Amino acid sequence: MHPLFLTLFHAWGLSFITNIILYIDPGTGSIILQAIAAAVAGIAIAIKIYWHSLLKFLGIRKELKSDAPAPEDQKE
Amino acid sequence: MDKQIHKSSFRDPSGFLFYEDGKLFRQVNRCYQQDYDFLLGSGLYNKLCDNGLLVRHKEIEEHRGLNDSKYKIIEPELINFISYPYEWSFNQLKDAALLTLEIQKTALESGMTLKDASAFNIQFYKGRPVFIDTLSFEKYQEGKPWVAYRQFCQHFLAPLALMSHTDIRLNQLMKTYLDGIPLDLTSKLLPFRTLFDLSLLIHLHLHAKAQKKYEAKGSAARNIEIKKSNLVAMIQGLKSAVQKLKIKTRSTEWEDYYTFTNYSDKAFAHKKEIVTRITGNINPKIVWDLGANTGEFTKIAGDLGADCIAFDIDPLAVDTHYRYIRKKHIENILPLILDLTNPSPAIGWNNKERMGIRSRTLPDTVFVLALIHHLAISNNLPFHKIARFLRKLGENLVIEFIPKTDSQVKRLLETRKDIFDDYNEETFIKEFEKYYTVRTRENIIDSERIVFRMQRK
Repeated sequence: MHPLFLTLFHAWGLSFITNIILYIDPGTGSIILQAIAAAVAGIAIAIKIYWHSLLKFLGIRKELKSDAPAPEDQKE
Repeated sequence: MDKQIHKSSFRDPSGFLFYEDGKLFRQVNRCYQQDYDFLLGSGLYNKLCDNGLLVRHKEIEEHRGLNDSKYKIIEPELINFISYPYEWSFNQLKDAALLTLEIQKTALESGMTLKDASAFNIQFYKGRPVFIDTLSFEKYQEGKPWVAYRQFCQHFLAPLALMSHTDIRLNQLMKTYLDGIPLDLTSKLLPFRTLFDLSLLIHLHLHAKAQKKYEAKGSAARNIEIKKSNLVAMIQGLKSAVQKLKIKTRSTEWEDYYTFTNYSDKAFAHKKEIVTRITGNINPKIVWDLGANTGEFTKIAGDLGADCIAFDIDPLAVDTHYRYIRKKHIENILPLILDLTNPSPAIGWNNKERMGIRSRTLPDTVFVLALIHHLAISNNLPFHKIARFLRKLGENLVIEFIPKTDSQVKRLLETRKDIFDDYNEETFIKEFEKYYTVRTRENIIDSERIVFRMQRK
C-alpha cells in the first residue's frame, strides 16, 4: 500500500475522531486503525439508512433489512 | 485434596482455572468483583447462556478458594473435549468468529465489552461453538476503543481471509502464532485482489500498515475515543466481512473419497454392517475415528450414543463433516483436522499451554478404517509402530486391513518402489498381536479387505 494513500486515508478517518490524548502503547496502530474503521462503518451505516429512507420515500423500497444474512450453516 | 492450577490459566489477573478432585473450577479474584457482579446483575450472563453463546456455571458458595484473592469460586459446565483453532476447519473457525462478534455486540448492548477475542476462548460443545471464558467481560466505558480488536483480526479475520483467498491449509499458521497470525504476514500472503475488498483492505492491509507505522514512532502515540454507535457499526461490518468469506469448492484428495472409492455398493453396505455390529458389541462411551473423512462411519458410533471425535487430515472433508453435523443438529460428534503422522503437539509457554493430542480426554475405542495403507505405505510406518501408538489411545480397536492386491493400494504403489515386503495380513496380525488380542476377523464381501476387532492386552 502506498504510504500516501494510507496517510490520506488516516487523515480522512481522524477528522471524525475527537479527544486525542498522548499515551504509550504497542497496539497504537491497531487503535488508530480501529478509530478509522469505526468511523467508516458509522458513515456507511448512515448512508445506508438515508439511502433506504430515500428509496422508501420515493416508493421504490418498502422496508430496511435489519441485519446481514445469517451464517451459512444456519441457513441450511 | 488434589488441587492443580490449569496449565493455560495464568495470563489474566481476574482469576484462574483449577482442578480439584477431577472437577474443573474457576476462581474469580477480588479485582474482578465489580465486572463479575455487573455481568450477572445486568442480565448479560443469562442472556448469553440462554442463547447458547456462553458456557454456564454455578457458584460454589462453600469453597474457600486457592488464595486470599478469591472473590467467588464457580464451576463451569465441563467441555468433553478441548480442541484448538489449528484443528478447526474453515466453517468451524468462521462460526467461532461470528460467535465472538455476536457476544461483543450483545455485551455492548448491556454496557459491557470483551477484553479478549482469542480463538482459544471458544470450544465446541454439543456440536456448536461456545465462549468459555467467563472473565473476559469488562464494563464498557463510553468512548473507549474495543481493546480486543487487534486480537480479533489476528485470531479470526486473518486466518479466515487466508484460508478463503490464499490456501485452506493456512489455518496451520495458528499453531506457530499462538496469539493469532501477524497482520503484516497476512497482508503479504493475501492476493492483490483483496486490496479491493474494503473490509479486508481496512482490517487487514491498512491495519498491518498502521501497526508498522506507529510501532516505529514509539512513545509518540495517541489515545483515541470512538463513538459507541460507530463501534457497533464496526462490529456489524466485521460480521459482514466474516460472513462474506467462503472457501473454494475445489475438492481435495479425499473429499470425494466415497464417490471414487473402489468399494461396490454391496461391499460398502457390508462394511457398515460389520462396523455397526462390532461397535454395538463394544458399546463405547468415547470413540476416536482416525481418518474419518466426512464421517460416514463415525455416524455409526454417534448413533449408538458415543461421544465421537472424527479426525481427518483433509480440511475440506472435515469442513463437509462439520457442516453436516450442524445441519443435522448432531451434538455428539466433533470433526477435527489432524495429521496423524504429526499430531498436535504440546505448545505455548513451557510447552504446557496447549495440550498435545494424547493429553486430552482419550477414547475407549478407536476406529482405523481404510487408513492403514496410508500409514504403512505412504508414510513408511512399520506395523509395530502403528500398533504401539494406537495402543496408547484406547482399549478397543476397530481396524481395517487392506491387502496389496486392493486397487487403492496398487495406486499408492504405482508411484513408489515396493519396499514393503512385510505389508501382508500375516505380519499385520503378528505385529498387532504384540499389543492387542484379536477378537474378531471379518472379510468384507465383494472386496479383499478385512475388518478386525482388537482389544488392548
